[in-house]
Amino acid sequence: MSGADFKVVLLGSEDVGKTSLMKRYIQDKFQCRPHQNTIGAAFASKTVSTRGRQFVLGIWDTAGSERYYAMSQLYYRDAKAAIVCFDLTERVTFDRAKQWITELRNHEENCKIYLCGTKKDVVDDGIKASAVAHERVLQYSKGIGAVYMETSSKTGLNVAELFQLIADDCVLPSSNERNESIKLHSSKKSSSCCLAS
Amino acid sequence: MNPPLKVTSKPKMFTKKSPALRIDEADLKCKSKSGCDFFGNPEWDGYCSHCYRKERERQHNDQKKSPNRGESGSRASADSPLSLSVAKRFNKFEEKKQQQRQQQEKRNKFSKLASSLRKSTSIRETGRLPEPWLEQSPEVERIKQDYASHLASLSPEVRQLINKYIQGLCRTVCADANNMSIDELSEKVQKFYQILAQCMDAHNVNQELKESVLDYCEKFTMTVLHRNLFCPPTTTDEEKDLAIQKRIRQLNWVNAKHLDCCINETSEEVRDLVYTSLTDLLGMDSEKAPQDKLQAVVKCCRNIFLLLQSSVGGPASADEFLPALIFIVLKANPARLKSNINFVTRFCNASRLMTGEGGYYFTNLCCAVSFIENMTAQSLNLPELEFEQYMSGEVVPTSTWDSALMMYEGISLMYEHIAALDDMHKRADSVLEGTELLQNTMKKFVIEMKLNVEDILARTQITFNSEKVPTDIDTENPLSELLPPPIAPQVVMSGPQKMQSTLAYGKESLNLPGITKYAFPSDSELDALGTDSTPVDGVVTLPMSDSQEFLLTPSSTYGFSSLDELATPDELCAAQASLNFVQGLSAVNYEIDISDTCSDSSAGMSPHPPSVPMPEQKDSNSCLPEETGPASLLDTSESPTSKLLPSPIKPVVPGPGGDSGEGSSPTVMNTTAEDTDEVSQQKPLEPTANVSSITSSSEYQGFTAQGWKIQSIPCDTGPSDLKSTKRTKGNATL
Repeated sequence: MSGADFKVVLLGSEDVGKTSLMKRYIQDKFQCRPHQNTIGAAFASKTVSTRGRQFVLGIWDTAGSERYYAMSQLYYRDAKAAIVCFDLTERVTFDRAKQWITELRNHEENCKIYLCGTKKDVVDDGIKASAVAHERVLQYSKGIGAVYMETSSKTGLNVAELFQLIADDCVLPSSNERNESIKLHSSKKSSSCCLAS
Repeated sequence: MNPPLKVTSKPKMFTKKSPALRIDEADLKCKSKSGCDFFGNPEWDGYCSHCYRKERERQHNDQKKSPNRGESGSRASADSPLSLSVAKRFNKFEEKKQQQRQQQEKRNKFSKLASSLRKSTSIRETGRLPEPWLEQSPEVERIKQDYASHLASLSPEVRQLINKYIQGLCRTVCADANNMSIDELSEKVQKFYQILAQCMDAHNVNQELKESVLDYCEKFTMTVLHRNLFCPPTTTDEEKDLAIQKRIRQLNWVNAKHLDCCINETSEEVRDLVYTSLTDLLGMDSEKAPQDKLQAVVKCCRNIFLLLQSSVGGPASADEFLPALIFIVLKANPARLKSNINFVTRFCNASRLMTGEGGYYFTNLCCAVSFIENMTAQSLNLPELEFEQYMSGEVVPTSTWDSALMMYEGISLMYEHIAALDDMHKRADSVLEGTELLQNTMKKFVIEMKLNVEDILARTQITFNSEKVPTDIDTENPLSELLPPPIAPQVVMSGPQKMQSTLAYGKESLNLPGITKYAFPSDSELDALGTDSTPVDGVVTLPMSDSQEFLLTPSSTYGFSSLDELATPDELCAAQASLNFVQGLSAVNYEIDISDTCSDSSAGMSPHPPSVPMPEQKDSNSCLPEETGPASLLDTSESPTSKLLPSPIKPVVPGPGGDSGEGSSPTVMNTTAEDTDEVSQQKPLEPTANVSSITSSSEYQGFTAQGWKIQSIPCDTGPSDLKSTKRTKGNATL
């Protein structure tokens, strides 16, 4: 049982395709280490290499049901990144996504937000029309400083790219932390003496 | 000053300040008089953490009583009538938990007492620090052993450093456990983890070893300090434990359907997995180190995923997992749930364990607990009234998990028994079949053995007798010498002519009801008696009188094989056919030949010899007569076709007729009752007769002459014959 370097949380209403998105990413042969098994379908860790280094992404699936909304805070605590999903064909899910984002902003300032419109294939195939205008979403995401991506778990469109982007973005702050930890180390030495005495 | 009072009274003051619906920010601020700008917390009596600590220290100095608060109050609430009534419906898991909890309570009380005692002594004898980490329990020893190899591979310098850190932590925690707030302690421990990690990084310990050493440090310190850090008296953990326990007990009626949880309760496999995940979750309390507790949660959650997999038919997602976990928590009602959760969150090496799988499941567990705490009618999609009724225990849902479980247990037990019964049925059937088979084979075997024995007896009998007989023959030979020698020549001439007449006669005799087939030869004899010459008669009678012994003598001399062979019906038939053929075709002349040949081969030719004195005919008859002799007689006894047979006999038989024609007939009639006896008698008789006749005819006439005298003997030996016939009869049936 080893920890993951980055915690990525999937948020969004029921049936927007959070689990599918994760499954698509994890079970895709691409970059998947053979012994990296999926444990259930709710949590998965995946090794990603970015900028010549290897990192483990711990991806947390969450229950999107309204009745568990109150507990979502527990999930995204300490998350490095959050993928807020909404169904491109369902207007309601986008409104819910906005709620998640405001909450995230309030509680986890350091958490990067990735807005993700799912089921792109349904829109592309013309089965259902997009319920949310692309420009509006783009505008909104810019306003909150989030990245916006449209994905399709069915075709795999943009799925790997989304997670790769997250991995790339997560590396920089971590190097900063490393510097901090070194500082801590030096200061700790003195405190440890106190402990020992 | 009573501590419980303090707890309850201060929040009251805190709330009294804000009677209005809207709460001022000032009300939320720390209520310290020093004007602290931090927010207060009801858990800290409305102080911020800093001021709360100060306040506590001040109080501590004021009164040195052990902070044993809230005990009696919580106990009272636990024993409320409702909880008792609920308690009656506990299933075994809950009973187990109850016991656990009671034990734990006792232990808690004990440890509190002990800690207060220890403190008082430590206060009295200042300077001598209690060092509980030195009184090592077997658990600690085990941990040391488990990680001995890992520690050994560390450089001594690092090992020393680590030991120093561990000791330092243990000492400070033990000393300050009751003075520090739990958060400060937690912070200290987390710092300790960080220091250890950095220390190892600084000494270039490789990653794997670092992990295991960190594991060891965490396990060791937490096991040693478990008593001080787990559910410490400075926190309200225990009350929360009892509150959540009571809450879960109240929610006893909640089932999988209420939670929209897709657990397939009817499947045995799923039920087993539910049980295992329940026990896994319950096992969390018995572990001491936080990572072990975490591991118990992970195990439980993995089992939940497994059971969801078999219920849903595919990998489950978080939307299915969380309700299932809530369900499991509700059914398990683990002891000291809150304390355990708090202990893990406070003292687990957060940076290592909380980001991975364990962290995920633990977070889910926290979610489940928080959901249970805040469960309302809405969250279960139930009408408010119904929810209230269930909660107050007024109404009990019919399909509660407990009753279902009980039913399933009963049913599964029934199925098991049925299966066992079926198995036993099958086995019994197979046993019965086996016995039947065995019986049949035994029967068969017995029959076979009987037949075999009879067969063998029949054969061996002959041989036995044969051995005995020779001497008899010699003794009797002189008698047979008295028989009239002239038989042969006379019969030859008359034989064919009278055959037909005798045939007709024989047929009539056969038809007679009282008389059996066998009477027939005797009749022929009678005829012969009347018509033919006396000497022939003498020859025939001779064998009859001899009984078996006599019969055998010839066979011994001329070869048993022929006799035995004759016994088989096939041969007899063949013999009969050949005889018929011979009879039909040939004149008596052929038969005469036999006499010569029979000396070579066997006694088979018997019937004819009496008529055969002629030496010329050897060639033609040689093969035929051998078997015909006895066969013909046998056939007559057994089949109607044998009617034809008498013809050859006639020549033989007629001879004796002259002597005791009427005298012998009565005997025959008598014996007819035991016709079969006669058959057997005669069958063997004939060959002997032949032999005697042959010998007499070919070699010397004195023999035949003797035979004539023997005629009287058969009548006497009648009874002895019976036995022999019976045996032969058995043979025939074979």
